[in-house]
Amino acid sequence: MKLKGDTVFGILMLAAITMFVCYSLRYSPTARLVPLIIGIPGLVFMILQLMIDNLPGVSKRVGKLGSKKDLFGAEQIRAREKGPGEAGAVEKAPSVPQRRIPEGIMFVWIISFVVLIYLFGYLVAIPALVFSFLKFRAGASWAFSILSAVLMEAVVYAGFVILLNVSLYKGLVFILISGRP
Amino acid sequence: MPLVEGLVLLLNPISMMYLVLGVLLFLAFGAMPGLGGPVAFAILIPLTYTMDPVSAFALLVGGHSAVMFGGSISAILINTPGTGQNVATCFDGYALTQQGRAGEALGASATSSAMGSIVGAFVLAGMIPVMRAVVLAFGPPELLFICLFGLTTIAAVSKGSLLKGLAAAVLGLLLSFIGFEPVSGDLRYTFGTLYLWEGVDLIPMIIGLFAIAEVVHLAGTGGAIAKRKVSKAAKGVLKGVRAVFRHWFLMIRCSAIGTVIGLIPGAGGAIANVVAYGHAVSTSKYPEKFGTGIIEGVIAPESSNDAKDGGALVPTVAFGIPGSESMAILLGAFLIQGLQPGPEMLTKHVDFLFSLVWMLVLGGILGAVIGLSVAHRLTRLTAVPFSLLAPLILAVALLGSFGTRGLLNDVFLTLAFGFLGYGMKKYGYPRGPIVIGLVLGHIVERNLHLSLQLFGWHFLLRPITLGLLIALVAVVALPLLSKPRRRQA
Repeated sequence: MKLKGDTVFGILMLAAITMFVCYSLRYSPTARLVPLIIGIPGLVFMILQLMIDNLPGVSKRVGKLGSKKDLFGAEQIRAREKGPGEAGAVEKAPSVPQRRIPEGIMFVWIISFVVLIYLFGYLVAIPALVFSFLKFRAGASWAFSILSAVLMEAVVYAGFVILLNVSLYKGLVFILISGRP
Repeated sequence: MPLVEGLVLLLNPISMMYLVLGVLLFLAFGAMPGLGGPVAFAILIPLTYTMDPVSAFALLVGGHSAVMFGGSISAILINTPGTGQNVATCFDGYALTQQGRAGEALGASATSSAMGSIVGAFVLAGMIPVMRAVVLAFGPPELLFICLFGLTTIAAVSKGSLLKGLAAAVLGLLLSFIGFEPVSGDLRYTFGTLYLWEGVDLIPMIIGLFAIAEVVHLAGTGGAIAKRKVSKAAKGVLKGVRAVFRHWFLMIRCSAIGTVIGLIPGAGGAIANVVAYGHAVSTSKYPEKFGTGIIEGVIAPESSNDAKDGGALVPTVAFGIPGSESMAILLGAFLIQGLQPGPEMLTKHVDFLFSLVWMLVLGGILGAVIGLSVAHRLTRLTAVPFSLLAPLILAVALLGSFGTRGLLNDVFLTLAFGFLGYGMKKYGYPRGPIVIGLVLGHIVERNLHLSLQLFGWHFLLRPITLGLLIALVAVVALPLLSKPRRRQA
């Protein structure tokens, strides 16, 4: 059986709440009181949601809890009117390149950026990210990518280091080389 | 007089400079569909760490007054609402643009937004003395149930299903229990990590849930933020301004609708603007003309979505229960500045509270004036491919998450919340309740233990507590008991 994305995410949410509830059993009665009062109904909510998502019979009976709400009839008004972005006589923007970045790839970029920060610190990671993303992902020119990276570095240094007086993380590599945190 | 003292507090060159800067930044974030107020807050709040409270809130609250007008610019000119709170503005705003009356629509939107901000701000000012009396009369049991009722309402009325909203609120509350337990001093859920002893910090959570998740989502949609050709703002701005005063009673009514909806925790402007639009249609002598390009169709939603901020600040400052998603994030700024919403705020920081009123007023007026002069340039921003903006937003967001406390672990936590926020957005779990749960968790736990020590379980039978308990059950049960609406043809 192939699991749908929302089911997988629901199971992860359920697992997180279950972990909190199970762990609280290890604590003293005072310390576990509130987590149990809050966590147990949370487990019920998530199990019900998963049942609504996956069992059509349950969905018919308690589907209202899982369906979209319409406070003050706002959804009805939205549906009655012509929705935004549906007007017929609108021209599409002609010259914008359609570069869709899949979510997985975007997360890889973000994780790489965090790893770069960890290893080399902000002052190396930021221009590296800006340049490489603009050049290799967004398809910008060499000049634009380099200029943006330099400008971003200048803004970060002036704004955070000089104006806000934030001591930016230097990176594991530089800390090991210099021997100072 | 506190109202004047609040104005004096705000009227200094530094704070006013931050107010103007905030207006410009929030106008830009508002005009770019998908970004909006929460992302702007997430990025800017860490920068306020070293500022004094008045300057920090001038940047945030004053600036936020302009975000709705920013959103209306793209709604009117390119039929793409900048924020979820401008959806109804598209109905007639874009139709006016197609008729060559974009300037008139922008003029009406700017004036309605400013007037809405003023109405909302003065409702907040009027409520401050009342709130103080109410909050001081409340004991731990009442505060406990105010928090639980607020949290349940937020979960119930925020986007998506009721169960998903409640589950998100529960997860937020459970995350707030990480670290020291206030009564026994036990360490909970730290998994042997020193970093978690102080609990989960709000800023990495906000940046991850909103900024990182939105960057991933928008990058996934591809191309420019807005995919429509930018129409030129034509003449007729003054005609639009005059139209608001010609329809002053509609503007006042819709501002009142916005303020009342703002008062309801979690309801927010996304509902206010549509309800105000519906009200304008139902009370009009010519309802059939709505949707074809009628100026009342711009005035109604824009006056309501700005007025709701004043209303939303009432539960935020009185009980620490945010009236909207943006207010939930703004709570983080209160905590960074060492300002605890609740009785302390209403007794020790009254001048500051009244300066918030003036920030809303001045932010709304400046937003309208500056916004009108840069409207066309702002819509050009929406034509910039998001792949060019993504690394810049990402860099500032991860700098912000580190900058608040100077801990690298906050960056890793931001990344984790980025995953969670993206999943929540993709699968329809509202993100507001999880933030509010994290903020309210400590208050809930402390007041439950205090109530038990003072009254035992009999605290549940105190009149206000019992009333709130019944209201809480009703909020959850009402969707089950209500009859299904008939489908419209």
